[in-house]
Amino acid sequence: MKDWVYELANQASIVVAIGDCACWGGIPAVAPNPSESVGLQYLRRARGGFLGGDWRSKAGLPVINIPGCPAHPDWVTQILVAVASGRAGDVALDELQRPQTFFKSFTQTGCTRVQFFEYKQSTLEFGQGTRTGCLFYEFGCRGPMTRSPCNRILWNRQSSKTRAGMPCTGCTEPEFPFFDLAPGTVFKTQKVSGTIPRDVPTGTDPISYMALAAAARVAAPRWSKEDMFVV
Amino acid sequence: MATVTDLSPAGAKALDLHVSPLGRVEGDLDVRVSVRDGVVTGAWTEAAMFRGFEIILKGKDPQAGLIVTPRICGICGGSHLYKAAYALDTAWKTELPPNATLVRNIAQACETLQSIPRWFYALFAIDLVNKNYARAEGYDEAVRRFAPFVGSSYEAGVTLSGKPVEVYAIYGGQWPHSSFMIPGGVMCGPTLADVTRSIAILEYWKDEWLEKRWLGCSVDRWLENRSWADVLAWVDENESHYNSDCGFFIRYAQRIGLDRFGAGFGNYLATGTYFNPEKYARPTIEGRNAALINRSGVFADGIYYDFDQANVREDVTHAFYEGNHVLHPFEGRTEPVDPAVGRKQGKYTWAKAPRYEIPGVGAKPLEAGPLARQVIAGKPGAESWQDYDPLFHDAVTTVGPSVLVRVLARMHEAPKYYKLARRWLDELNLHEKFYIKPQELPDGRGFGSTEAARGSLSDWIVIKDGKIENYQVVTPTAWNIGPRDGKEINGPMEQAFVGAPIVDPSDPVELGHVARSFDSCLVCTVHAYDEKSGRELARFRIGEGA
Ligand code: SF4
Repeated sequence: MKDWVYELANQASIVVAIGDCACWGGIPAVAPNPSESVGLQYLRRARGGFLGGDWRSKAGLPVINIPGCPAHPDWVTQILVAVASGRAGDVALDELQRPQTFFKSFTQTGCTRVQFFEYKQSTLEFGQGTRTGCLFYEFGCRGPMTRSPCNRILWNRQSSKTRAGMPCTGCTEPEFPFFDLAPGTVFKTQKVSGTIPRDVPTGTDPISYMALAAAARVAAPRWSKEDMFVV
Repeated sequence: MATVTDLSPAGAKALDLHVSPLGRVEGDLDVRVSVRDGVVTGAWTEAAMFRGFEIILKGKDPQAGLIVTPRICGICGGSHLYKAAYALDTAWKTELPPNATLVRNIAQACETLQSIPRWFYALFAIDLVNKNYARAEGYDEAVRRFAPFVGSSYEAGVTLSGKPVEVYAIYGGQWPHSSFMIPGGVMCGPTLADVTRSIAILEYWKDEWLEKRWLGCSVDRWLENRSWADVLAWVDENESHYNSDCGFFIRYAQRIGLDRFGAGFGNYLATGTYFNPEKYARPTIEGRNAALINRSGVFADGIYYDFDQANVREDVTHAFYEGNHVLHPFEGRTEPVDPAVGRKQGKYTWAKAPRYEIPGVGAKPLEAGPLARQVIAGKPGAESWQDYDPLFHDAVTTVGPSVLVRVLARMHEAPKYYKLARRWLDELNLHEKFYIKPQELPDGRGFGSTEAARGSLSDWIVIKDGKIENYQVVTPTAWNIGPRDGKEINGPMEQAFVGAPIVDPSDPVELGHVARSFDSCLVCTVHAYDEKSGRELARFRIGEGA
């Protein structure tokens, strides 16, 4: 199998890795990585992988990573169509070699709960509790730290995990599943000193985030404390 | 290990041509069969990929299985989630509000409803247009309907198969690979439009595919068929039945002999699925059987038995794991050995051999899947709210199991599960709870099980000090494609190959029918060898992970 991948990759003018396993090892690479899985050009966030960090396809491009567990069919087919129709030059890649047209935005971009995030109003429990609130504060939602178009290009043309009340698990990032699924980390926000989220939204820092959060809570309107997604 | 590979350069080239780097490989299955005088005499199924999910789960968060196990399979992820959630419910002694049970049932049913047409048109029916049948009556019609990509039913069947999982996504956010079922319930709080949209989508799927194309009659008319004789009479009842995809398939399958091979042992396992919301409000391992709508059971050598998870064993004599132990999954061990070393000890696959210990009878290999479920549906003693359906018990005891019977059992589930899903949607009470927060007990043992589209799927979890101490998953694919056991008894699929006629040794499509009729979730390569010379007769691929 490895020989096939190696030979085919070196024949191809462009190589596209589809899904977390091919991009960076994915779930099989979770410690202790019993099957010694690696991605094509990464192992988790470390560059290298099966083909090596400097590898280039015949067209001179690194592997195009379309991560996700699973990758959305639309992300896959649109990039393949772009490549096949001579638009590879338009596929701008980010530092993890993901097409920016899909992976510049965050999972949070387009989430129906983002107004609750704005006013720091938390969902308090699953099920009926998800009729209101944001999943960032208690349930470990990684939407503000995860690059994906999950709330721009819906799943099965219907919804997304965060819309349906399930916290984003960050599956388009190489660390997925985060914290290697250590006890106490699944569907629970990791906090420092009991209150401050350990991971704050990308690009901010804990101190400015806490200042913003305090002000937002003061400004929170009444509707933000009521159910929004009602029967 | 009876044969030697004699690969000509031409053969090697043909293999390369079939390698698809885009294929969704859930794991590879190699089937080696030996052929004598045009009949299969022996078969060895070799799962060629080690994945190690059970090793990954050890020491992790108790809920890690909700994230990891759906990823075991690209097409049964919802079923993995369903049983993983119940394993935790039983371990943590949760309470489930009725809505949670209903949403889980709906989701599980929709995943299977998706699988049925997708499997039939995209995987199975392709073999019906094999050139070996070019002279069979109805061949042109088969090509017209089922030829991949261009057949008149192919595109519609494959495209419409995506509809039921749109319903799944309404509750789970996405399909596949959601983790929205959690101990104590489900994460979603559906709204009115979620339910009405679900109804509209399911009705569309039922009208456009199930009734218009597949059955040529109403769901209720089809479900009046209670015996194999009823099914045959149904075909000839009117032109609409006769010319539906189902009517045509039954006629054509008989003409090309699909009713005459692929029997297997005729012994079956269903662990059952879908719970009665009232009867399983407090899920326990012991209370499971009595709460199942589609019941569990074992049918072996013509006798029905109750299913008890305590009687499940995994035998690693011929699998690439340490030793030759036969263990219950709570005690299960997953300690891989180097295949090169394993082969010297007679091991030949990465799949363990699941067996069921029938008290007083002994360990049996059992076939899992739709046929198994539908045979168990004929078990006497059902409560009024449980599924009782004698059709396939009648089929296996009158005409006997075969490729045709196995395929029809699967298709028969489409109208049944559609009706169930519709009823559960009506039973949702949007003003009540969907979740009751459980206590996360640091220690416990759980068993969760369901019927994935392709058969019985179960998890056994042992939690100790707030972490996973042991996690064992037994898949339908393992039940079906597992190897010989310590007593050298074949696995079910191995057995189903034996006796299959091979008309054209260079293109043994009959093996494709048998392998595909099981719908194992592995991309499968079949190698056929001549038993006397050991010469490789053919090698071909059987389709992509379903
Ligand atoms: S639920 Fe997640 S993605 Fe949605 S707004 Fe909150 S943090 Fe962002």
